[in-house]
Amino acid sequence: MNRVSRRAALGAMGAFAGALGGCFSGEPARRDGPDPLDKLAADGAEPSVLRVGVTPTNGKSTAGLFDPLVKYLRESRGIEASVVTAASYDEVAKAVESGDLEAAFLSPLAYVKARAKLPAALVATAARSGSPTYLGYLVVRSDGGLRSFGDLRGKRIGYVERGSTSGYLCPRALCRTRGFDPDTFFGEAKFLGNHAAVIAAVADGTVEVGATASAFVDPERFDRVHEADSLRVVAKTARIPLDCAIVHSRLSLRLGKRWRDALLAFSGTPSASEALSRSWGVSGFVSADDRRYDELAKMLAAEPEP
Amino acid sequence: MRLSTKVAIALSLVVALVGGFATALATQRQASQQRAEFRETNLRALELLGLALAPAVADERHHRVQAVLDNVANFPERFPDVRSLQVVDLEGHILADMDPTRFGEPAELGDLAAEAKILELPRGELEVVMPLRLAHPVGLLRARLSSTRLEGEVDRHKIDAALFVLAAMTVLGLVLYFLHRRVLGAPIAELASVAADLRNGRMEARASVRRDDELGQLGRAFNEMASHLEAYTASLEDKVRERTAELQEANVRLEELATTDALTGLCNRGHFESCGARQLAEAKRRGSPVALVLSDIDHFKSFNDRLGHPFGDEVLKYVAQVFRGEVREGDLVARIGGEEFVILMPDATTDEAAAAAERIRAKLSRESMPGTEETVTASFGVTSTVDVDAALDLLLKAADDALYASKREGRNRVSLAPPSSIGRKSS
Repeated sequence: MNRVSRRAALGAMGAFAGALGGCFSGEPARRDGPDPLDKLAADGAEPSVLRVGVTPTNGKSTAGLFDPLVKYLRESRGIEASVVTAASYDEVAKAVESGDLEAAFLSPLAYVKARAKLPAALVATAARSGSPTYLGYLVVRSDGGLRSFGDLRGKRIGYVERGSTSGYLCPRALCRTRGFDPDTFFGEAKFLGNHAAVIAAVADGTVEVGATASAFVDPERFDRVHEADSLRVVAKTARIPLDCAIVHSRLSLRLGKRWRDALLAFSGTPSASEALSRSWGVSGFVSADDRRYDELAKMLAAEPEP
Repeated sequence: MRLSTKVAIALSLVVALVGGFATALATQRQASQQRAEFRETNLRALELLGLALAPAVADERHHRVQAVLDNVANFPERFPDVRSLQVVDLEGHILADMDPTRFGEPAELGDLAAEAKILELPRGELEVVMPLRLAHPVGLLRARLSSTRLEGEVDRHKIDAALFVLAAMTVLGLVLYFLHRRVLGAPIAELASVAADLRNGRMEARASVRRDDELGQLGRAFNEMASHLEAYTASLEDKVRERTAELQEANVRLEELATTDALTGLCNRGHFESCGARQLAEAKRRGSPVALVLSDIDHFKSFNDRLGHPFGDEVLKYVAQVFRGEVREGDLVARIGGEEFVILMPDATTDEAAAAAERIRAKLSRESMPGTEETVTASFGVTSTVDVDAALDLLLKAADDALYASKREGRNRVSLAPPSSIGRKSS
């Protein structure tokens, strides 16, 4: 084996090893397609403080949640950021649209809904434990005898809310890919408001099947709900991209790139990364690719108008 | 087309064929090696992946296994050859898949392989089914790999190799062309130029020889040949000049033989007639007179009879000598018969001719032949165009008549042509 081939072999093995560890380098991944930041002008605005819009996570207060990130930005990257909390993702999107925010973290669904009209550029996608995606689960009680997707026909289902990605949109899309109409395949549908409530409802038998996110069910995850111990995963949805970071397109290209570089390098500072992971559940960011969100847009388009 | 070009093209083609064949073999070998390494490398990587996944599979921690597969799916640029990965539990259900929606589905595997299996699929894909083991089998890892990227690289290597061979052939062709032109073409062209000079008669032309190889030897041999050729040509020219001179001399002699009487050295009859006719025509054109003296040795037969023919010849030579001594320069003296002599005298009247004849007659009759006691006499007849038409035969006839008169009147005398001679001019 010559030197080049040996290097290729080691590279391939190393890459698989990287997949095992779930680690990522933080460098922008090379993907085809235009750079989203191309829409920023070289002579755009460079405010001294970036107002960054966020929303409460699962009803938690945002107080202190983003402190590790703000501290990292100030001390390591020289960027002054001010976290602005809005009541919902839609409000964040509106504030970006009106120019009251220079940057924001949006849920994937909020981004997909607003991306056509937002005067913003996609900067990065958040990552948990190195992965920029998560899954939606359909869960049942372990002792309930339901073992496959087919067993769920006619069963009472608990969703989070209609605006939830993993707790509503993606499980219904999964049902459609299996060839069923979710409105008729399942029995009664209940909207329980949040993931913990869905899991609790399945555990106590209020509903027979629950639509929730992997982070609330998988062992060893910081969001895991303890009632999940009594549940079984029956089906998994397609991968769902995590929250995305955007910047207003009136910012200068230079500042936009500094913002992106800071986010992508964030996971390279383990203490800050671990702290943010504990508080917000996000340990870093990976390079943005608008195509990650296309599948979600299709799912959204398949949903009937409310 | 120049020889250098032909040689360069021929050599380039030969090298291109050999080089192309060798390159094709080398690229083919490299492609086979790359394909083998592709399989081996990916198999080892999958073995490593299987080793790492096996504990999570054994514990049915599907979310951990799925997280690994998601990582591969989320960064396709890091795993460009992986089309799909799937982990199957011992019951044959999909525990994790790069498409997570397949969770829990039957894996549609014929059997749970005890050993790794590799299947060649259409479109250059490879399916690897590998058992996952701890102390005992815990499941299967199924991977589908695409060799499209590898084949692309192989094709690029082939194109690179072909372009390299093409560029190398072009450079080699040019080098061979200039090398051949310098080393072989130029000396050969110079030899051809020198040969052309020699052909055009520039015999001093020589090739410049500055080397000791075969071409140097050829140049020296060529120059030696040119030197020999030059010397040979010069000797040939000398011989030609010599032969030409000899020929001219022979021609002169031949002409003398044709126009001269061999015994006396005087003009013979033929030459006298042609020459005399020309002089008469010329004199007629100029309007000047021409006189003619005809003479015959008296009793010549008695010399032959008494003293032998050789003496008779000596008599003829002696008479001729006397004639020559007494005529003017420009007078034509000829022996036109056995003992008959004639003098054609341009620009002379009958009297002047008669005077010349008288001097000859007197000298002959007054002196004996040198070395003998014998005296020779001769009779003369004289005429001229003053009295006779300027035709040689008429003049000869008139002179002959006068000569006859001299003979008749006792010999050893000069007679003028009588007025009754044939062709007498009417006045």
